[in-house]
Amino acid sequence: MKQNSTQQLLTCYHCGENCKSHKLDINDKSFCCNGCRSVYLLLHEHELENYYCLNEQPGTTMKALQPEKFRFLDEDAIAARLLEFSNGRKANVTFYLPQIHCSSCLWLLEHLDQVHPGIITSRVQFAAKELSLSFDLTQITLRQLAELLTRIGYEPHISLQDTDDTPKLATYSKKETAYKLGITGFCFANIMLISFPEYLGLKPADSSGLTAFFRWVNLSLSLPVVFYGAREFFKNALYSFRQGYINIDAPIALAITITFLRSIYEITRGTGAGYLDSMSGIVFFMLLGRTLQNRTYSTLSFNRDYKSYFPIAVTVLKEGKKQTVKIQDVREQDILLLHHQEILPVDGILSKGKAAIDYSFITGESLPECPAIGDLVYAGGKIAGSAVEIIVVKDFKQNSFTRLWNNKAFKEQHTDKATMTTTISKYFSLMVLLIAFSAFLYWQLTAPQHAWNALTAVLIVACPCALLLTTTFTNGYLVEYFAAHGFFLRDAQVIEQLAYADHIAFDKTGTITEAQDSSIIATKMILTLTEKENVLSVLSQSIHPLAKAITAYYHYTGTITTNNIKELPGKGMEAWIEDRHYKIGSAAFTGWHNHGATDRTEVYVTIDGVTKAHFLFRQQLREGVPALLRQLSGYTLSMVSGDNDSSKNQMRRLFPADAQFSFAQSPQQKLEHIQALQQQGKKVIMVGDGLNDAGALQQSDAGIAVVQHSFSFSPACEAILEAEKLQYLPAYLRMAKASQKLILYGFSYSILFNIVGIGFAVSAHLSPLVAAVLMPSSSLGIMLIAFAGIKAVTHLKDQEQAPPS
Amino acid sequence: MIVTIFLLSVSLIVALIFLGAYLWSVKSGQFDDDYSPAHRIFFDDNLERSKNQKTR
Repeated sequence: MKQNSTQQLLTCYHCGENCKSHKLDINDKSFCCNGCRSVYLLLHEHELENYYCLNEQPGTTMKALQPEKFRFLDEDAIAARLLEFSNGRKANVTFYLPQIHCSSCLWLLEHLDQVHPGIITSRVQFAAKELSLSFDLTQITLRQLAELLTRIGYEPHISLQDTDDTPKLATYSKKETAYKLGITGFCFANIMLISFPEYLGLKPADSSGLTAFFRWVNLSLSLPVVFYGAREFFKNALYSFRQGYINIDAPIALAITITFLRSIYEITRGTGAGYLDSMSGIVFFMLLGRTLQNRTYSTLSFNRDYKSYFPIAVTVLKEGKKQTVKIQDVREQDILLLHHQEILPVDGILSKGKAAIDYSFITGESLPECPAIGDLVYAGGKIAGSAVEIIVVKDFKQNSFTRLWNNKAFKEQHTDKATMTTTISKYFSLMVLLIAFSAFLYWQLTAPQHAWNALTAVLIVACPCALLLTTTFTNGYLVEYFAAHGFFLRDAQVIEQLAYADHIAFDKTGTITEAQDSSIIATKMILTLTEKENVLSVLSQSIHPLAKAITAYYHYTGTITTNNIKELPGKGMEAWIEDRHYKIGSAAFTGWHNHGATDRTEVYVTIDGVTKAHFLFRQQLREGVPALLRQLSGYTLSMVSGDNDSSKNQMRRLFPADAQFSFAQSPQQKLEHIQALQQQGKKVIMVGDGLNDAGALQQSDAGIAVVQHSFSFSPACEAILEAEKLQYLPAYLRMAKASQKLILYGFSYSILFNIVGIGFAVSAHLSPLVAAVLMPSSSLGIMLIAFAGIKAVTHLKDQEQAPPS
Repeated sequence: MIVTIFLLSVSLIVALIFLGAYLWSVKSGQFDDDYSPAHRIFFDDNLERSKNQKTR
C-alpha cells in the first residue's frame, strides 16, 4: 500500500512534471514521457550530466517531435536570411530559444560542442535568450542544428517576423540609457562636489579667482546634462505642444531652461553661483526614474500580430515532389502536405488523409473537428494526427483570418492617453506660472531689483519633477513586482487602465478552462476486463483527442490486437473482436438517443448494441478560477466565448448572477461586445488567450493575454499573464488601485516641499544652498515613499491570497 | 590658490578617464548580459576538458 502512494508522487527527473508512466526507468530515475527520457539518454551518452547537477529538474516538458518542422531551413533563400555569416565552410547563426531560464540551460548550451563535432562554438546571451552558434557546414546543416536543439529540449523559435523584409521598430536601447545615466550621474556628482566650497563659506569677494574657476567648471559640466541628459524631456515637451496639449514633460523642460539660463546669467555676470547643482540632480533622478519605469522585457513581445503565429514555410507537392515554399508564395490550387502539429497556413479543402483539426486558438471551439475528404478547413487550425494533403482555396493574404486585422481597432496608434498624471501636471503648471507672475508683479511694484530673481526662483523650485518622480518610481516598482510574479505589462500606463476598470470580460477556452485536458467521468462502466482491453486497443488506433484522452485516463500502453477496425470521422469507431460488434463514438453513431440534453461532449461504448460504458468530458477549469470569480465582486463580469454553449450551466454556476454570457462568438463579435460595453461608459478589461480574442484585446481599455509559458505566442495586448497566475488577478488589480492612491500621497508630499520652496522663492531669498538642499531631499523622499509604499501594498495583500514571493 | 585649481583639474581629468572607461565598456556590450558571466565562472569543467584534451 505504501509503495503505491510513493509511486504516485514521482516527478520527472528532467522536467519536474508528474510521472504517469515510464517510472523508474534508468538508474532509479523516472521520466514523465519519452521525450524527457531521450534527452536524459542523449546527455548521459555525451557525459553532460552536469546539466542536472546545477539545478533540480532543469528541463522543460518535451513536446512530440515533428520531423518535418525545420524542413524550410534546407532552402538556401530562407537559410541565407537567418545566417549572420557564411563562407561555405563555416557559418554563424543566432537562434532565439525562449526555453532558456536557468544556469543549467546556460551550461548545456555552451557545451554543445560535446554533443556534435560540427559545432565549433556556442555562446548564450541570457537576457535576450539567444544562442549564437558557429558551426561547420560540412558536418552539420542549419536544419540539423535546429533539430538537434529541439531534441535536447530547446526548440528554436523562428517566426515570419524574423525573416520578413520590413525593418524592426526601434526598440528600447539599454546602451543609450546606460550612456545617459553614466554621463549625467558623473556631471551631477562633480558639480555637487565643486559647489561645496561656496556652500561652506567661500567668499567670492576674498578669492574671486577660485570662485570664478569653480563656477565656470560647473557651467561646463552642466552642458552635457542639459544638452544630452535632458534631451528627452525637451523632445517630449515639444511633441506635446505640436499635438496641442501639455504633458508632464513641458513644465520640467521649462524649469530646466529657466534654471540653466539664470545660472548662465549669474555666472557670466559674476553675481552668483547659479543653481546648476539642483538642476543636474533633478535631471539625474528623473532619468533614473524613467529608466526604472521603462524597463522592457526584451524577450516578450506585446505587438505580435497573426504573422508570428504562422510558420514560415510549408511543404508543397508539385508533380509528386515535395518542395518547401514560403507561406506568402502559396497560391490557389497548390497542394500542401501538412504533418502532425503543423498549422494550416491557408484555407483549403482536405484531399487526402485523416486528421483532427484543433481550432481552439482561432475560434475558441474546444472540440477538434474531424473533416472528411472534400471538407473545407480553415487557416490557423492545428493538425492532430497523420499527414494530410490540402488543396489551397485562398492565398495566404486572403484567408478568413486576415480580415479581422483590417478592423479599425488595430490601426489606432498608441497615443498619450489622458492619464491622471497629465491632468494633475496641467493644473500644477498653471498654478506655478500664476504664482510666479504674481510674485513678479508684486516685486516689480515694491522693489524691482528682486522681480526677476523671484520669478525665476519660483520656476526653478516649484518643479513638477517631484510629480514625475512619484509616478515613475511607483509605477517602476510595481511593474517590477508584477514581472517577478508572472504578470508582464507593456508599459507603466497600463497600471492606470487596470486601476480604473469596472468591467472584466473573460474568454472561455484556454482562459477559464484548460486548453488541453478535459476531465473524464465514466458515468457507466460495465465492461469486463477483456472487453475493456479490447475497447482501449481500438481507441488507441484513433487520432481523435477524445480517444487519446480515454486511453491516457486508463494508462493504456498496450498494442493493437485486432485489425478489423473502421474509423468514421466525426462519428466514431467500429470493430469486430471475437465475433462481437464494438461501437465507440457519439450518441447518434452508437444509436443512443439522448433525452433532450444539449451538445455534450461524450463517448458511448456499445457491444452488440448494448451500451456498456459512457464517458462524459467536462472541461477542466483552471486552478483557482471559482475563487477568482468570487473575489471580483467589485466588477461587472461577462463571458464571451467562441465555443458552443454546452458548458453554459457549468459557467452559470461559477459567475455571479448578473454576468452576461455569449457563446459561439466570432472574433469580430467579441470585438463588438467590448465596443458595446464601452459605449455604455464602462472601462473594460479583456482576458483572453487566442487569436480569436485579438480584436477584443485591442478594443478593450486593457487587454490581458493569458499564456501557458511566458514564451508562448500571445496576440497583441497590453499585458501578458502566465496561466498559473490567473488566480491572482484580483490581487493584482487591487495592487494597481492602491498604487494610484500611493501616487496621490507622493504628490501631497511633494506639494508640501513645493510650498516651502516657493515660500523661499517668492521672498527672493532662495540661495543655491537652500535649493540644493530642498530638491534632492524631496526627490529622495519621494523615492523612499514609492519604494516603501509599493512594498507595503504588495505585502499587505500577501496575506489574502496573493502570489508567494 | 593655484594649487587648488591644479589639483581640481587633474582630479577631473582622472575622473574623465574613468568615465571614458565606463562608456567604452558599455559600448563593447559588457553589460548586455548580466546573468551569464556570473554563472559561467562556476562551471568547473573547463579544467576537466583541458585534462581530457591532453589525455586524448
